[in-house]
Amino acid sequence: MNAPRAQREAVAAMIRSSEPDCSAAMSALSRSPWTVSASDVEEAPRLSTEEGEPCLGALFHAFGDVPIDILAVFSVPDAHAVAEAVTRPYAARLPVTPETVQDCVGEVSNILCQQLIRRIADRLETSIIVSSPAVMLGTEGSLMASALKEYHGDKDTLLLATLSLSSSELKAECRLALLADSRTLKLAAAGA
Amino acid sequence: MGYRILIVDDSSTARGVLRLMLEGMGHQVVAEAETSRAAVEAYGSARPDLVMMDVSLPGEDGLHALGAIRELDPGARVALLTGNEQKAVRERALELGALAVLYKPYDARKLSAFLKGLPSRRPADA
Repeated sequence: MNAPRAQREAVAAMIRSSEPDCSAAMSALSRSPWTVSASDVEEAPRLSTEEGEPCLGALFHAFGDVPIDILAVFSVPDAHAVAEAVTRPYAARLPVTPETVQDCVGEVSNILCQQLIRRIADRLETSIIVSSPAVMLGTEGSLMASALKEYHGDKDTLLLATLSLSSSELKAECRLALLADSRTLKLAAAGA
Repeated sequence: MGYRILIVDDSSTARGVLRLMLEGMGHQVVAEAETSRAAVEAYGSARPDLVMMDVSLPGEDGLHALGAIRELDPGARVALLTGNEQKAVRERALELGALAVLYKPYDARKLSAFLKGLPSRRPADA
C-alpha cells in the first residue's frame, strides 16, 4: 500500500536524526572516524527477485505489540569492506572469514537499525525489543520479498532509505527497509 | 585480579572481539554461549564471576536468561550488552537484577572502568 508523504517524511526525519549516533557508534566500533548519512525515504520499488547483484541482508523482527520489521541490505563487496573495516583493530587475531562477514553485517545492521527502532519506540511511547539478526544471502529483490513474506503486520508498507557509510578507508552503502503497517506509521508520524 | 567471565552472544565475531578485549585487560573467558538456554547451562557448570550477555539472542532473549541465572544463583553478577538504548529496556534489565547495561559497540575505556568498579559478589536478593 502507499504511505502518505507525511509518513515517509516522518520516517526520514527519524532516520536523519539518528545520523550522529550511527556515526559515533560506527566510529567506536572501528576505532576510526566514520560518517553515516541518509537519503530520502521512498516506497520500495518492486524489484526482480532473480536479477541483481548478490547481497547480504540482516532482518530484525520486533517482539511485542508494535508490528515492525527492519531489513538492512549490503552488496557483498560492501559487506566485505565493512567487515574488514570494523575488524581492522583485531586483524592480527581475528581473520575475516565468510562467517565474520555475516556476523559483521549483523552487528553493523544492529547498530544502524537500533537507532531507528529507538526513535520509533519513543514516538509510540513504548519499548521495542527486536530479534537477533537473521542474515541472508540473495539479490536485493529476493531479500525484500523474503522480508515481506515473513512480516506479520496488517496492510504492510515497505519504506526504503539508503545510508551512506564512509570513513577514510571505506565507502559503502546500506539499504535500510522498514516494514510497518498503516496504523504504526500513522502513530509514528503523529507529532513529528 | 582478573575475573572469570562467561560471554553470551549469538555472533561468534562479537564474542571473539569481546574475548580479545577482556583477555587484553587480564580477565579469563571461561565459557561462551550462543543462546539463552546454553547460557544458563554454562553458568551452572562454569560458575563464572561475571556474565556478559547480549539482550538479543535467538529464541528466548537475554532478559529471560538473566532471570533464569539469577534464579539459579541469586548472587550472580550479570551485565547485559545491547545496542538498544531504550530507557524501558534498561529499567526492565535492572529490575530483573542486571548489574549494569552496557551499550554496543563497546568502548574499551568504559568497559575497563566498569570491570574495575565491579562490586564484590552480590548478596543474594531477598
